Amino acid sequence: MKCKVVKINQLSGQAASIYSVIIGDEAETLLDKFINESKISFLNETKDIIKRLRTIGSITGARMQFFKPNEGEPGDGVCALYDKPESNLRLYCIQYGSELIIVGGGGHKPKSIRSLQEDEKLKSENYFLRWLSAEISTRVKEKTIQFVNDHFDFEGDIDFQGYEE
Amino acid sequence: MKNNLTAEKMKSPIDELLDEISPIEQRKTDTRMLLAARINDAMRAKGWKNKDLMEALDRNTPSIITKWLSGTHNFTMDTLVELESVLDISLLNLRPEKPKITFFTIAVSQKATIDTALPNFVNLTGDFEQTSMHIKLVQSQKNHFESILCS
Repeated sequence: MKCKVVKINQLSGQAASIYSVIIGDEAETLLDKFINESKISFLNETKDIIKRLRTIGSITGARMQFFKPNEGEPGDGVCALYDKPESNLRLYCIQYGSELIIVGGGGHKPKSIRSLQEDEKLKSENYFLRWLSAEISTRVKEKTIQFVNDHFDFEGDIDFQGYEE
Repeated sequence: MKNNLTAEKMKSPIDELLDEISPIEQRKTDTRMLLAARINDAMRAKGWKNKDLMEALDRNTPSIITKWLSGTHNFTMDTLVELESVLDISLLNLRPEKPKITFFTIAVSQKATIDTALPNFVNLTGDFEQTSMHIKLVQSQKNHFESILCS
């Protein structure tokens, strides 16, 4: 499976850049898919997440305090955007400082489960970002990807392939 | 009509959702997250961890601090006042207001040398006596001006 990282201009701003991922030749990003999947049952919660992403991009930056940390492997930056206590939507992200985040997919985490591994959808979305984070780390070390524009953007080979669920 | 429909169909899910968010809705989220950011900055300035803030506020649930810092919490006024007090910060005045311009009349009843009586920003020269002037002052300069005249 191949994929590429793309910038979401509508949500990016002077405080942070918001990226998402396009899988294969699809037209929609993982964030678009998350919206389409979530807004039917959780419209207000989905809107709240988009508002928060816009605030992060334009005003506050991607401060660590806004994300639930340690949702991936140690040190891989995979986290989840905090949701309202009464909501249980999870949106997984990879955080690179306060200037850049990659938003992946997510979904509803039922109260009946404790860990994301208990839900196939959440596990699939989360493990994909773990893989992507590892790929990006490797390419940064190999210098085939660089952070540019004061860490606000990626430059280089941002097309990936080889992920298997 | 057909063109409009085509344009509508081409909108991304993000655009469609952004269209539904009113400016006031967005501003509420902005403010919640700005408050959380300011609280976190103040904690870091004091070298405090979540536990320190919890103890300073005499609370006993660590998760409440995480919730406050997440930018999702709708603070009560009382909590904000408590936070201002323990963190020595202002939370209820997040954005600096534009300086107000006030027009007022000054009556000088005593001969004074302008150099000593008036601050630098009043661009006048020479001596004056029993004079009324209309001066445009920025509000923040008013107190300074009054203190000079009263001394």
